[in-house]
Amino acid sequence: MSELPSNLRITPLAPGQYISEFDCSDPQVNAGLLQHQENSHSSRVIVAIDERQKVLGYYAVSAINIEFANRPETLPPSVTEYPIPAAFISHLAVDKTCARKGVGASLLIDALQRIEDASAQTGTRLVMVQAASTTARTFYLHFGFIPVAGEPARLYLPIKQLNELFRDRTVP
Amino acid sequence: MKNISAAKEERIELRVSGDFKNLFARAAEISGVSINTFILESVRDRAMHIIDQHERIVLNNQARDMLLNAISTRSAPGKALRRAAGRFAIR
Repeated sequence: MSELPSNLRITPLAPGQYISEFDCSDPQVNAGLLQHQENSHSSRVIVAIDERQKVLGYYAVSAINIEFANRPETLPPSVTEYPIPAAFISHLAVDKTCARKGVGASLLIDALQRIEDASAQTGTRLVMVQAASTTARTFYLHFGFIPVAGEPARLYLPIKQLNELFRDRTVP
Repeated sequence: MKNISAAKEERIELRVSGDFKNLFARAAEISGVSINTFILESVRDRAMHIIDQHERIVLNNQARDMLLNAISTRSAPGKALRRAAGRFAIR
């Protein structure tokens, strides 16, 4: 893996950023970014941009609830809320011109930081992700995400791990 | 759904074949409503269903038990995640 592109910034999607050139080799995911820009009601889109405002990658995050087909009679004492509030990363993609440079990892860390920052207010107990491909799945597995039993495209990370991961970080 | 009556009215136009229009008209008549109301209510119900499905994930028993265990017991972030947090945090 080579160095991160210089002057990489991660910021909420805003007008004036060049998203039309974005190409992660998956036409559906490309279209997803354009759709998010035009019609983003429930999810928040964060982009990685270079100094020319070209979008090098993005992710979309929203709030969801985790429910059970059969609710158990008792929940563990630490689980105080049902349905269980969670953050959901529905897309995370990187432009093919800067693949394997750490842009995806930067976006993931940014997402996890934002989710963890907000978790005291939102009550989020975990981060759920949707892996659009086997490559994406491998990416999340590498960072310790746990597959949902019976649903290979979905993986999650308990918020507790993030509390520990960012414990010593000073909030900007 | 606060202030929905105060929301500005928008217009949606769509072109349909005569066959579709007849189909909608028949169904609307059977339901005892106008075609407009029929289309509006059908689309609203479908939209709400899609959004509802999108905003929740329902787990089977095995996935439920694993997840409850994972979020209620202590677990430390893995090495790859810790390394990435040190190296790739750029905000």
